[in-house]
Amino acid sequence: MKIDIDFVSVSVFHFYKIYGGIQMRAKVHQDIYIGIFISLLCIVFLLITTTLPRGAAVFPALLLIILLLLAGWIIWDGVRKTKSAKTGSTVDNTISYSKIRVPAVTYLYICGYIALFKLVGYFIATAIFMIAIMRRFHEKSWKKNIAITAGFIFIIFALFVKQLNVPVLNFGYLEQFLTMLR
Amino acid sequence: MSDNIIVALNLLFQLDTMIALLVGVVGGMVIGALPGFSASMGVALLIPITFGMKPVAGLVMLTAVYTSAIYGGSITATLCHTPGTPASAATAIDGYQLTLKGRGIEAVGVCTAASMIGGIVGAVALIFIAPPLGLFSLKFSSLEFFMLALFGLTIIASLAGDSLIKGLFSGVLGLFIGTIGLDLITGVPRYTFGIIAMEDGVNFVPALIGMFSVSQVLILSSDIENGRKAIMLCDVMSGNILPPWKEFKTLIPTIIRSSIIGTIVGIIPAAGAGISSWVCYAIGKKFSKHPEEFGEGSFEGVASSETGNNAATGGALIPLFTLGLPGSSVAAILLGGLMIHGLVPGADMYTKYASTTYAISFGYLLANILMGLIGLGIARYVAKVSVLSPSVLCPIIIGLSSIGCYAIRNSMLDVYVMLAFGLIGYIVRISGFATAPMVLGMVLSPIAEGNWRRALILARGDMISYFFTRPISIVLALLVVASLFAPQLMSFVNKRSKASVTS
Repeated sequence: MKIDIDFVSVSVFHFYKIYGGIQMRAKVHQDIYIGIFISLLCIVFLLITTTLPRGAAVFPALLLIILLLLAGWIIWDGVRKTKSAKTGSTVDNTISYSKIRVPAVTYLYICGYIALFKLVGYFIATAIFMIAIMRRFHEKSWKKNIAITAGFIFIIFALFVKQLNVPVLNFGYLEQFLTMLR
Repeated sequence: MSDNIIVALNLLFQLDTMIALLVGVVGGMVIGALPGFSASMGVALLIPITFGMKPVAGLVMLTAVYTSAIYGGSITATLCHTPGTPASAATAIDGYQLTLKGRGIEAVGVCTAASMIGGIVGAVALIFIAPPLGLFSLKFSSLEFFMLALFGLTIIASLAGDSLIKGLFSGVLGLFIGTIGLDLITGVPRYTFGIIAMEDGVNFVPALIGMFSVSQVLILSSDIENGRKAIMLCDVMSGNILPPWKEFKTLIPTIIRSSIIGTIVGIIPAAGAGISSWVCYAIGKKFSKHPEEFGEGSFEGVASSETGNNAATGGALIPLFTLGLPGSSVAAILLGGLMIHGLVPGADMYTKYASTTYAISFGYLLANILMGLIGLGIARYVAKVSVLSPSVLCPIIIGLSSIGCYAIRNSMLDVYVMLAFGLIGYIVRISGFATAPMVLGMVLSPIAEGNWRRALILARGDMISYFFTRPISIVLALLVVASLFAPQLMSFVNKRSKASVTS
């Protein structure tokens, strides 16, 4: 097969031109993205506000316009910060994949915990969550994790449920399922 | 009056009343410390327990719970950045920074002393000058409430942190979030997207817990991954309960000023300890010789907010007793407690039931003193939370926050709100925005909008004439202008005085 060297070299040249451009566009301050996102949200909410009666719409519309102006200022500030960063180096954004990976996973754990409330109730969900998250946080001792979890659940049950009659989802759908089986 | 006081003291110093006082103080501190379990919940939960008690014992216990819960919220706010009550959100800003520096015990000690002194000043006002102060609260109408909210909004700039624009954005966003739900005047749902549960608006307590507690857990999770072993960042925690006297005496003017302001703000119906703490914090920063330390771990910041919120509890009882007008949401629940025990708030409280009223007021005073003594006694032990491993503390915070949010209205929506605001709070904090202005905006939004629109209706189209017929509004407007331009004015005055000295 005959390879057209010229075609390949031109293609490679254009590839690196585009790739290099993408790399350069990645060196922008996060405030630009945040400002754009906020501006889009403000526009959406402003459109929703136009469907409201006048009396109810004035105050939120005023606030949304102020938010839009401030978002524009944040974008301008982000552009200024991007330009003032040294040539050839990336801007140090606080929101980056490496920095938010662990908190994002922790947040997913918390979401899973809340989702379990309806399924198995507060106490079982809390036991599962606490042991799982402590293991995730490198607490390796099973005895310690179980003891802390048991102690916490006991305090919640004795003090809040029994003494203060605080309402708690005891066993959620699991209780209904077990009742059906009986 | 002196005869009534003697009879009141006889009623107060009974064994059952003293036991009720102790239970109220300790129980209030525990309830207040737990995220989601606010003072109003504590008082509401304990009202049925007072059914079988004598009026003095029952009401002393409830007022003790009120003031102690407001103080208790500062403990977790300081040590874990998790305000136990909304009134302690301002304390979390500086209190937590002090904990990171290993001065957690001293921070809790200052919270305790400031809360005790603020509560005592509020109690003294309640005992000796309640009737004339109660009449003051009657003069507040919609326009005055709007001007008060406007004054509160001027504080937003001082809470902005490093970036004024981002701080203002957070404040305005908080104001906007406060508009979600049913419009108070027209009854039209705004931004509810068809969800009926949202027509009540975004519940403030779960939003606050999400923004402070859940976001803090997310931030700590990164630190745990990087090997962090304790909440505090230094190796050794200071063992003193209070800062050295040389440092503590600089707080005295702040405490006195915040006590007076807090009591006055508490008298205003519906203002409450939360607004009082923010107002006192901002004024404390304006009058401080080191305002740059606010937000970085300033004892003055902690003292300002804590004195203000506890002084407001005494202030809130003044219109409650004298006029039957609750000064806060907790006072509204206490109104129910008063009526259950056969006491009708109003003129009769200081005539027909004078001895009972004074007994409750002195009981409230004693509760603040006992709260301070117990708090100082346990400060060293509760501060040990800051040496706990965050990998154990974080799940406990989430577990407590979740049950606290669910218990408010027995609704999972509040837990979802906590979750959503946890994410919002985390993104806000890591991208340089501030949470404090957002919290303040959410608190002030319904007050500002609702009262402005009511004032427009009352003014019947002529707002300017209406404004000039209301002297309190004029005074508040001048305070707003002063608050906005005070930094520039002070700077101008300083330059002029330096120029005159050099010449």
